[in-house]
Amino acid sequence: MGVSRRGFLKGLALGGTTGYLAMAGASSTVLKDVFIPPAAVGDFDIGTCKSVKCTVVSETSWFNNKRVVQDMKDAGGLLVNQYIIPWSNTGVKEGYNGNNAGGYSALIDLELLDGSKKKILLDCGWNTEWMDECFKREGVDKMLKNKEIDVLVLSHEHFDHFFGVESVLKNCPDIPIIVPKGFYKEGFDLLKGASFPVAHLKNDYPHTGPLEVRESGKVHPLFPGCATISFDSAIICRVLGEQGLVFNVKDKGLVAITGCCHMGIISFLEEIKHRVKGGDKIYGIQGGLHISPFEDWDPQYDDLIQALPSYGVEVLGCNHCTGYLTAEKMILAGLPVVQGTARFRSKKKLFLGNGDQIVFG
Amino acid sequence: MDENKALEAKKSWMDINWPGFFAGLVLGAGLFYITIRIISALMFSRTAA
Amino acid sequence: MISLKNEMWLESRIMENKIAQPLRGIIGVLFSSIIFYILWWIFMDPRGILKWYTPQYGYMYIRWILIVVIWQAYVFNFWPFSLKWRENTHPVITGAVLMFVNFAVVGAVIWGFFYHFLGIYSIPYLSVDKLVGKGMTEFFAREYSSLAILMFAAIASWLSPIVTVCFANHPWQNLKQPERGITIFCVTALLSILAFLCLMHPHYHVLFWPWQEYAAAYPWWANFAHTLSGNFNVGWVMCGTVSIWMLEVTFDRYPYILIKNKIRRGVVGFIGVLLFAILLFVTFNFIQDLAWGPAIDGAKRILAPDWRYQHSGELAIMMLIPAMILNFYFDNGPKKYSAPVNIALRMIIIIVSTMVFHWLYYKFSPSILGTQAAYSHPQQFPMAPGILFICVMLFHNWFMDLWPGKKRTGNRDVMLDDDGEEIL
Repeated sequence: MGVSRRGFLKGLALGGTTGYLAMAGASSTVLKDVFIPPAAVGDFDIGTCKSVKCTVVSETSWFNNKRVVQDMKDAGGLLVNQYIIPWSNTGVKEGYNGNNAGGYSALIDLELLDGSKKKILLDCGWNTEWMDECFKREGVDKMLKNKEIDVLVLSHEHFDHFFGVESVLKNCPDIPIIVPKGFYKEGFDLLKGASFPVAHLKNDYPHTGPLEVRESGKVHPLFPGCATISFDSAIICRVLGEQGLVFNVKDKGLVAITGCCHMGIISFLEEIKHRVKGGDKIYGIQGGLHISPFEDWDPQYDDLIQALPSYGVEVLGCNHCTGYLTAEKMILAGLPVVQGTARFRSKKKLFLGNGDQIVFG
Repeated sequence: MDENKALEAKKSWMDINWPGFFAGLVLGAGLFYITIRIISALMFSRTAA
Repeated sequence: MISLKNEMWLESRIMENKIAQPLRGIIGVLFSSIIFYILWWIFMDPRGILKWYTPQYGYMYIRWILIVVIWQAYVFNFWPFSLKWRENTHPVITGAVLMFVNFAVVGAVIWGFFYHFLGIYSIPYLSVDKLVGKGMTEFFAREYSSLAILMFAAIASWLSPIVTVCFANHPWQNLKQPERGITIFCVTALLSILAFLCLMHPHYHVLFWPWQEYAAAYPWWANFAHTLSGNFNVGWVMCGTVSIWMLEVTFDRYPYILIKNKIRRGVVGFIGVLLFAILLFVTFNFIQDLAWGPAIDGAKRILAPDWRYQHSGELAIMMLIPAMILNFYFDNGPKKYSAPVNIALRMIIIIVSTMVFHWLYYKFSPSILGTQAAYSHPQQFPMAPGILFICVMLFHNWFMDLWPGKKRTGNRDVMLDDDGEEIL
């Protein structure tokens, strides 16, 4: 009796191991579709707008690539908190008055179906002297003073998109601000008027307007035909979370506008496809696409360039952290990259530069 | 490992209890199914990065 | 006739337990953890001293530590250190000395052989200076060359143990050291170089612009893997490493040990290890698809096909660590049942431990190891700390005879192989 129980257990163990491994093999291959549900089709209606115009206020986040990478490396690498990195702000030959910092900011003019207009300021750059000059060039400073800009949408907390917030708040301290979930305490403190001397960062104009934090995993309407979607991306320099904008332009399709797109442009387009009604027709893209910002490369980026044509994008505006090498390869691959004019310190015409505009609709 | 035990262990592999084996096949397959359900629930995050 | 001490030191050790379980196991894990953490803080941690975890630069050193420890113990049987020294020296001293020898060899290989010989006279992407000289940013130059150099070691640490584990060192089992070591080293080095040229070199075809069309093949896996990245091969090679080591530490070389002829056993074993590696690879990919949705062509981070392949390798390493802890420190689990039942119970313990370890790692690694949060962040690379911990456990077992939990009291003069025949 004891022997046959031992024998049964032995057979059970042999069969169990075989069954476990066989099930692993079968379910990972031939039975895969049984277990993995089909992808959702987007059904969230964000409404429709007439047109979207995007003006590149500044896309030159910094002026010397090697310098900014060296700053991060000297501070201890890409994991170090951006609020304690001593960014090079003097003696940089290509910099703005020796300061390597520039910034990213875009002004979005949204025309609704009834003809009314909304203005969204996407990000506020880094170096406040540089941003003051850019805002003046595009008239953003006057728009802020006259309260013509409806909202400041901060795509994410990175230094080149957020540290210039003083340039916005000095002109309009009560502007409504929307941030993605993930902002750290230092970010909220900066809005309240804190300073971070190590990082040469300050804000002397505390924010007095409404502040909204947008959670990930859902579509957040902003205006008719306009919404934001947040992602939980963990990014270099101890930053968490990014949001992108999506617009539904009448008779054209959806348009995705981003700050840096750290989550990846394909991920953003797929999220739009699975959440937003009409997501299978992506008409246009604009913004930083974060592919080769330091002119580095990875075969994964070639995967992206090979996959992007299948989304049927008709207008591809990109700049800033997209990288010139990426733009060059995209153009060779036949993607509809919109060229720029290389003015106001933007280096090449390969993509949209400072002062350039793109219209969807 | 000890050589005598190794030889004994090797012999023990030779006689298979077939009812036990087939019961084990089903049990093993079921255990794998439970494993993947637990793991995918633990790793789940809609916007995990 | 070979001397077991000279040619099979590890296998012929007679080890006595000095501390009872579970204290012996707990002390062993703590000991390795402390040594691991000291090394991590000095060399790797981004908040530490040298900050080599970038992550590829530090991972390169860790990968070479692993293959060099395999050379020291498995391939060269501690040659040229004398038996007398190993027999009479305290384990703490043998551990420290052999570890420093390991580090010195790693340094010589990376700085001498790769950076200043092969990278200068043969393949420029193996030399940081050469890439910087071409105008590349130093940080990325170092990451690119580190990836290539570590992949030689990764492939070698999958192929090298196969000679011992599957072939029982046949047909060179009767050679003395250093002849046996040199022979096995040469054969595995040749196979590793061939594997590197086919699996990793094409990655460098597309890494540089313009594409290196004449110097490297286009990634031949692109169509079925949906990625141009060599991460596809990184993933299954890692699973291969785990497969061969689990055959050794968990499966007691079953079922291949049932094949009497050693050469036939080696060939079948090699194929079996490869099939098990592929099974691990597709299963871990499948689990990721279940948890996060299918990978999407061209995406990055957690949806990227190439990152998923690499992550399969990472998940496999997360399984190997509990398997090795169970074997080295906890006597490989229950022994009172028949062999198949013992092994099945071991697998259950290992799978549950893997899930616990996975949860603990992602919860605590940013604060303890200084890595980034989230699964797919480029600076979240569990293979680096994972394999360093494995290396420390190997130092502890192979260089220190698992002191203080165990004590080596001698070596056997006569040993039978798995078929009951005396090893001559």
